[in-house]
Amino acid sequence: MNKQLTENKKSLITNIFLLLGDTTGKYLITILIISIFLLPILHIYIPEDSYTISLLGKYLCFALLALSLDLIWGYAGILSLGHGAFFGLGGYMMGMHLMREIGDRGVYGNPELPDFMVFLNWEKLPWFWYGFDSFLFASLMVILVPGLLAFIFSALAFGSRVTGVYFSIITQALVFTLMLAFFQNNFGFGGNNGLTDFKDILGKDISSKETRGALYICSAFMLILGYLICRIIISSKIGNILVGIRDRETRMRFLGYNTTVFKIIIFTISAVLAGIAGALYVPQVGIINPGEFSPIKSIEIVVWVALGGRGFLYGAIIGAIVVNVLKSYLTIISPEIWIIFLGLIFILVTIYLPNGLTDLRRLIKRYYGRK
Amino acid sequence: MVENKNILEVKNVTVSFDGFKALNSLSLEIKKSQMIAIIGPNGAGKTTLQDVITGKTKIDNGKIYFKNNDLSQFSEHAIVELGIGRKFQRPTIIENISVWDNLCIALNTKKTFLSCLLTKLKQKDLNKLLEIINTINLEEKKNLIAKNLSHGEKQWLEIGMLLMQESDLLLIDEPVAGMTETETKKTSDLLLNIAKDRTIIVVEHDMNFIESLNVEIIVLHEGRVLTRGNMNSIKRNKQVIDVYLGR
Repeated sequence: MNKQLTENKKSLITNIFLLLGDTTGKYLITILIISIFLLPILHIYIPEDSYTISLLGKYLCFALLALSLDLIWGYAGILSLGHGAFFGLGGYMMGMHLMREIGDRGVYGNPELPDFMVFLNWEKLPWFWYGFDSFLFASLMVILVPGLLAFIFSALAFGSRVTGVYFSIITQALVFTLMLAFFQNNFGFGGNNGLTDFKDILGKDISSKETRGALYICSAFMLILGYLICRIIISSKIGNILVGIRDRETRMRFLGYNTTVFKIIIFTISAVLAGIAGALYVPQVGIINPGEFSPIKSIEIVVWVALGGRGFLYGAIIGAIVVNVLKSYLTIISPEIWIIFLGLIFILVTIYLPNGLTDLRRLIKRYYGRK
Repeated sequence: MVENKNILEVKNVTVSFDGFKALNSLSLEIKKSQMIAIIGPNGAGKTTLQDVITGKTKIDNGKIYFKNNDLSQFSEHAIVELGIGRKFQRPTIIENISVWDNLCIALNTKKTFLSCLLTKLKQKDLNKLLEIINTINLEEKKNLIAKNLSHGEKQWLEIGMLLMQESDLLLIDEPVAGMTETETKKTSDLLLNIAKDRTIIVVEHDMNFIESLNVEIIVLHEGRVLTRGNMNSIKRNKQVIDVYLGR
């Protein structure tokens, strides 16, 4: 009878940090922590390789992005087909700082204006670029801008009770609008070239091995932190409430929950995580352009989560990494085949593994159990 | 303030959908700690009446007072906080979480995001959970995922969730539709048991079930109260026979 009570007496926080009952999560975090110590060292001592660690760091950024989508889609049933919007915005905020860091080392040597502004014959820095010379300010914007947009957007949508597929469609519209806006040269973000040619970050050469290693460590650390934050939310009562909102929102409302507020908050948290992922992504790939806002990219995120298995958190991480590793190798072999291949595995997984790759474990267990 | 014996007062409430008056200046009062049954033919306004009481449908005209609060001033979830719980016709539980978790989320605590994130179950909450899971006879199935319950058990779980909320007024829509005879019997026992310290409005078609509850009955017809009284007087009422019971 008192099983629940004793379970309950262990503090939620210790439960989380020991990741009790979350074996896969435990393995995943252990691997990430080992990689934090191992990879940058290996990277520095293998002279000819200067690329792999950034590639791995990029995968981790995508994993964090997928994780942020799983938080809303896997639990609250909110399918965002525009999560690239928040990822891209976070990326642009970091990109703006890196542009300011270039200083007078640009092609035109203007200490105040980034090259593309000189090229457009702009006299002075637009007001929305103020403050971005400070890393701290830019980091704050990485959180604030995607967060604020998500808050306003979801408050409007959920407040007027737009749900389900209609919500998904307007998220597509959101990301598409951003793409069109950022493609404009006079919008002030470098038009279709975006922001690039970064020189250094926090005074360190951005393409040096040490910086790349450090960026990898930051990405892994943020992914672990993001995972723990999501796990804390899901393991609390909120997890069940979100599932309730997904399955029977009216029941939740008649239980006295203001479901709109819950959805707005969880959507905003998710957008902030996506923004952070974007901000870590940009220095590692060295460019941010409006292509990040293309609707197809946002749909790809959904595919990662679906392949990994939605509603497990670690599923999203595994899905994002597996798909992107495959993508890296297959696009080298044959770029045309990749998209067909992705479509094919997507179809196969939806038919045979309804819970994505997380089903594999169950299949393997069943196979060995029979033996 | 004068002590008001009526927990719920519906005064001249009219609701129309595209010109059709689902409720036609309907008035009724319900006393504290009373169980009452509402019957009526299809389209009499039974569901609409529940919708307006719970704030799901807005009223065109008239007022509804619950414990002397004008309900038009409250949103759906605020009405729940005032103490009105609703049981839907089809079982609306959260299918993908356990029986125990279903009851936990119904617990009558602060329901803001932050308090749901941080607060833990207290001993008194736990006692309440155990008490109610016993009342609805599901203590052996508490760790079962709710979708695996039988139809009747789902209905009891939902009633249990309303009990967790500590509502003063429960609206219960067709609780025994689709139940077996044993389940129906168990449900009427359950309702009679929980009616001891709260007000319950049961909307039901099954006359045998209502008879077994042995409570006052309100007959609705075309958005108005046709008559109210006990089973015997209702059965003999000529109007009721004409519009509902049939000859």
